[in-house]
Amino acid sequence: MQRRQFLRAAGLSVALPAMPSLAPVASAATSSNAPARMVYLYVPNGVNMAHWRPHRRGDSFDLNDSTTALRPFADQLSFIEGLELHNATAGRDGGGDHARAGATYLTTARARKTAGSDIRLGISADQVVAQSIGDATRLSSLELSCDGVRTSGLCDSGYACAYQYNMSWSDATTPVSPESNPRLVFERLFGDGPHGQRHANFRVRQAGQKSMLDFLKDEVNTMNRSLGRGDRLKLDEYLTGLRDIEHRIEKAERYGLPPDPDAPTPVGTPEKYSEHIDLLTDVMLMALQSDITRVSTFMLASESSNRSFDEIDVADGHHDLSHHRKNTTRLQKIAKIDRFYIDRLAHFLRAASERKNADGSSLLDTTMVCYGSGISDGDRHNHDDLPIITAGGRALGWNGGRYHRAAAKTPMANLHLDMIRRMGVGVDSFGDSTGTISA
Amino acid sequence: MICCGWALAGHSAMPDADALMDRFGDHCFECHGYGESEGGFSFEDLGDGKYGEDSLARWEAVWKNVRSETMPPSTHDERPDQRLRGEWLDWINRDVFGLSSDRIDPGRVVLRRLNRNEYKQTIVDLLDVEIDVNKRLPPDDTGYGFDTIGETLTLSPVLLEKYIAAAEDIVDEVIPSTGPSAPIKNLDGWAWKWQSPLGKPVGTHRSIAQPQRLWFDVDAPVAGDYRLNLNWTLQYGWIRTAQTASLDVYCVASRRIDESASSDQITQTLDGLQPIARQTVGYNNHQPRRETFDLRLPAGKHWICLRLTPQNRDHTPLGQLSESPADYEFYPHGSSFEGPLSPEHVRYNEKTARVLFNGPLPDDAMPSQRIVHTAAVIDRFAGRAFRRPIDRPTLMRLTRDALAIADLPGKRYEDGVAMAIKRILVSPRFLYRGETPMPGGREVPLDAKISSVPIDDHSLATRLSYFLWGTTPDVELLEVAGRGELNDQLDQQIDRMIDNHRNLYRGVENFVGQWLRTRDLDRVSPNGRAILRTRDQKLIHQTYNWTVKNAMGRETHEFFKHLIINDRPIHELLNADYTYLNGPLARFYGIEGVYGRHMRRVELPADAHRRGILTHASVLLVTSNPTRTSPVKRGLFILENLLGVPGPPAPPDVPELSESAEGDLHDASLREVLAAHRDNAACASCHSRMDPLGLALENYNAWGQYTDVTYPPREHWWQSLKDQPLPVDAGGTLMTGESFDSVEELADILASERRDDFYRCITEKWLTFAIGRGLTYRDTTAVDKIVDNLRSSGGSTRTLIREIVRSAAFSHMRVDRSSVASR
Repeated sequence: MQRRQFLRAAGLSVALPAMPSLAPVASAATSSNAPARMVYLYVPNGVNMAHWRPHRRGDSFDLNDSTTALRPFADQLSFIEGLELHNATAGRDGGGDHARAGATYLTTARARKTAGSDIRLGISADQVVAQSIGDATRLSSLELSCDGVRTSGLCDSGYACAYQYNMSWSDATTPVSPESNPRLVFERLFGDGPHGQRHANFRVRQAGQKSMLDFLKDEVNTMNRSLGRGDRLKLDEYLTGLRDIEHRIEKAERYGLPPDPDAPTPVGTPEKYSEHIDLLTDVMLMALQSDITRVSTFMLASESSNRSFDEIDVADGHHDLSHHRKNTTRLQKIAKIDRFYIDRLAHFLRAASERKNADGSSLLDTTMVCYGSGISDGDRHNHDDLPIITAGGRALGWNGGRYHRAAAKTPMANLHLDMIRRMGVGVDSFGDSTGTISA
Repeated sequence: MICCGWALAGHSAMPDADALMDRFGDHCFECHGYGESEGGFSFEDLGDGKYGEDSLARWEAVWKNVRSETMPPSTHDERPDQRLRGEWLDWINRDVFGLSSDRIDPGRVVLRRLNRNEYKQTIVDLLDVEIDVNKRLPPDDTGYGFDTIGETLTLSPVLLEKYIAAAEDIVDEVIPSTGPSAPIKNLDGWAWKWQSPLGKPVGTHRSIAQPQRLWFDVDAPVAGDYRLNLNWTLQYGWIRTAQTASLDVYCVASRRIDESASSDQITQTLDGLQPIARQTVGYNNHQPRRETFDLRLPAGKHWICLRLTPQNRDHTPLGQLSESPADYEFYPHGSSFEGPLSPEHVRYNEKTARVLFNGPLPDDAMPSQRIVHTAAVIDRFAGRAFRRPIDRPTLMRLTRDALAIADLPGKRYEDGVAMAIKRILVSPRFLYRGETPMPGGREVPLDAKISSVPIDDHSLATRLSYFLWGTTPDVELLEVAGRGELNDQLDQQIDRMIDNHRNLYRGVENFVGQWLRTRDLDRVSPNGRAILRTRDQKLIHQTYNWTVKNAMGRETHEFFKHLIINDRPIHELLNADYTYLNGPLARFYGIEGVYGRHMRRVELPADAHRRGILTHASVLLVTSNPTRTSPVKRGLFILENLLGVPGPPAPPDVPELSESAEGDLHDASLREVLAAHRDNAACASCHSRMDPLGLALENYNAWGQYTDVTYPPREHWWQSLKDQPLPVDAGGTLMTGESFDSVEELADILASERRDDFYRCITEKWLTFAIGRGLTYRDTTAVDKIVDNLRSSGGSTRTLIREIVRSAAFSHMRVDRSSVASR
């Protein structure tokens, strides 16, 4: 078996040792020996469907102009039309479609309308998998986002900001906050310092953590003695964090050190948005390839992002534009932004297909990728007919090259459930699922 | 979560269905009565007690819906006016919730974690280390518009890991494991002078083309051995280069140099001297260069000079040899000067000495001395970090562990203390603000289960400090708390804290930065071409740049700080005829006679068109879109943040205002487009409240400069180049009936007729920020009380601060009665 594969990804030239010794403990059946992985990529504010939706339906389709960059991967991806997030609709909750779209997308749960107290949502699909098979890898999941700074003030129409900045939730009340700085993500995964020193640094850091844990657990007890019941519950978060670190150290002892990629550590957060996205996806793919984790989510921008796109000469804010009122110029600009994001997806798919598993199969074949938005048309804020692309996962039984329409009112949860089960998690339902729909 | 407070608050009988019909019948029963129960709710069922234990939750929902004006819905014919809504709310407060002003529930604040800014500032104040929290820690979730809300300040495993990593790096910087060392002076780029000893600072970098000299001075307190560590990078702008330079390093006693001489004369001084080092440096790498020179110096001041002489010509990007030596860039970084190196001068550096205040552990210390010496260090640090004294068992444990590490082979005393400090910085007692009731504090029962008790002095000191300063309490505040005198000295301490203007500014930045959103200035990127309608990039950059943007935030902060320091009426925020400006911002505003970088008070001339917060560029900019103004956002900002009227959410299917590119409105101004918008009944109910406010500010473009004219909104800014300018009409009428012709008049109306709304609004905002939870119906009486006192003081800003601090929500906590009994 080839021990080292040289891979080139834009900006990161990497050689990772494949890790055959880490045979999956509980892995889904893939047609290769490599473990199954799942990835969610999220884009905000919906899309311009007229330029997005492929031209013909059925087993063959022509890509529309917003998605032409996907042509090289057309046989490895599918467009699924008609999926719905029922719990993101207004119901009795009134405004706040953006907050709900972001919150409901992966959880399919209804967000309790609150600006801060009593946040309540539901566990997200990725976390169901992470909590079930996460023990097999060093990290149970990896959450990413490009938003390192957030708007101050109030968030969407009376919803707490946690809803629109976090797509992964480990339970109904706990968002898993994403990381945005490529350097820090890289260092957490592989250790800090230049290639060659990372192992040593990783060990030092872990030893430091370990010696601290016992003391900190006692600190929690000391503090608890003077606190009321409600505060003790809050401190449980801290205790969970301690246990998690402890657990990870145990795992590291079981699995040995992470690989030390023959690549420079990313410098930080690039100025250019496209480079920021690409760098984070590259780090994510390195983590998947070296089996540090098998589950990852990435909010390319958080819901209702009003980012402007200097790179492609769109000076208006995305959210502002998405209220297009059928104005042609605005719709064209939205299509331009859609293309920008699809280019990033194409970059991701290319990089994933070039990376190889230990057995020589492509990483993309063993990775289910779901790309999409929790809003269909930013002007109508509708949560049905969502723009969803699935890609990869061939070794897991996903067929690419299809453009199909789900039956009316098919919950998005059905796709999640399909992915959860293909990851080897034997559950019968997820969220508001009514069955499964497959890519 | 609802707590069943009113059942005990002297209230026994809930209003029955008949009483409810009398009160709500006309407006609500069509859908929620007479047998109807839309949305699963009926007043009749509520009155008949059919909701059982859920009744209170139902009542709270009614209260919220009435207050936020979501019910009755805007489509309903019979909408109650403000007065009737007020009556309903008062009635619910009194007769249903049983709220009374002598038994105020302080509410439940969820244990608060230090947020990113508080953590950063706390570390600076404890250890004098500045860390880049925006890079190191994930952003905090906010709630109710602020990042101080306990419930949303969650802690994930990743964050805990980052706290551990941060603690390690911070402590490693403060306590080097090398122990005491020779005094060391760090020299950054600002210490380096350009060309001559009196030249300008080099700063981050300088471009060098000609032979060049760089200077800095060092002090030798006594004659002896010293060490100079130089650290710099040379970078070239071009891709290929064959250029080299010769580098000579001189060390000149300062008496030999006439600092006022011309740089040529000084160069001649150097000519007679032997350099202490000479070498040739190439430019073809970006690697920092490090050179160490050992020097034996007589006592006195000395100048160190680096002379760089470009040697030969360079290749251009096209590969041709250029005519002259190419420019390259000199980046000085972290150089330092060490010494005297003789053992008697060895000591801890300044940062280390702050923690290890009693010096190194004496080599010959007895075991008991070792413990006393170490425990003193840990006791003092933990007391500040935990914001209250550390308990003895933990202190002894940390001391023992520290000494155990110190005794390990290859380890020193400093390593042991460093470990203890790291643990303290990750302890929940540091990261969370644990609060405890005052021992023996007067307990006021709120119901069978809960009481209100004052918080203890250390908790109060901590709340006060993070409220006013955004950082950890200082030594004096902790000492006053330690003596149990804080409650008696509350006013003096508040005044003393206000007198620390530097810290006060930080506190203002935290609160105002979020309330008035100046923090968002970091994120906005206005499109200069569209705003100025020009392609002239130079003009755009001259008009608006980082310096101007930075001054915008400072204007608002300095202004607010001034209101506090000088105890001005808080409503001056709305219509003051002065503000705080520096040169760049004054130029941006077109106000003459203000020069320099520092902010100072400026009386606003009548023709400046500036008056109060509404005309601060910060507010005008953060409420605009990148290419154009947004009257809707500006109007909403005023409603939500100054008048405290929650903007009802936009109905889901109605888009935000956008330009109309077709039909009659083709050449219409934004005002006309909005007017068309308001003709639509679905939009009117909210827009008739927001638009008049936002349109009054149409004289200010999307980055806040005054303009007489406006242009029809177009998709692309250049499409409006051919358009005729339209005059701005800033007049309008508020929903409450007051008319105005200009923003100045609007500002005056807000500060007079609507003053009470503003008082209530800022009270609610600042209180929310201060106590770290959202306000509920149960806080109504507390807020009323603060507003009453604020009004009778004529709006005194310090009164507002004192009232917030004295309010039950701030100074008391809720405890379980059973737990108090058993305490």
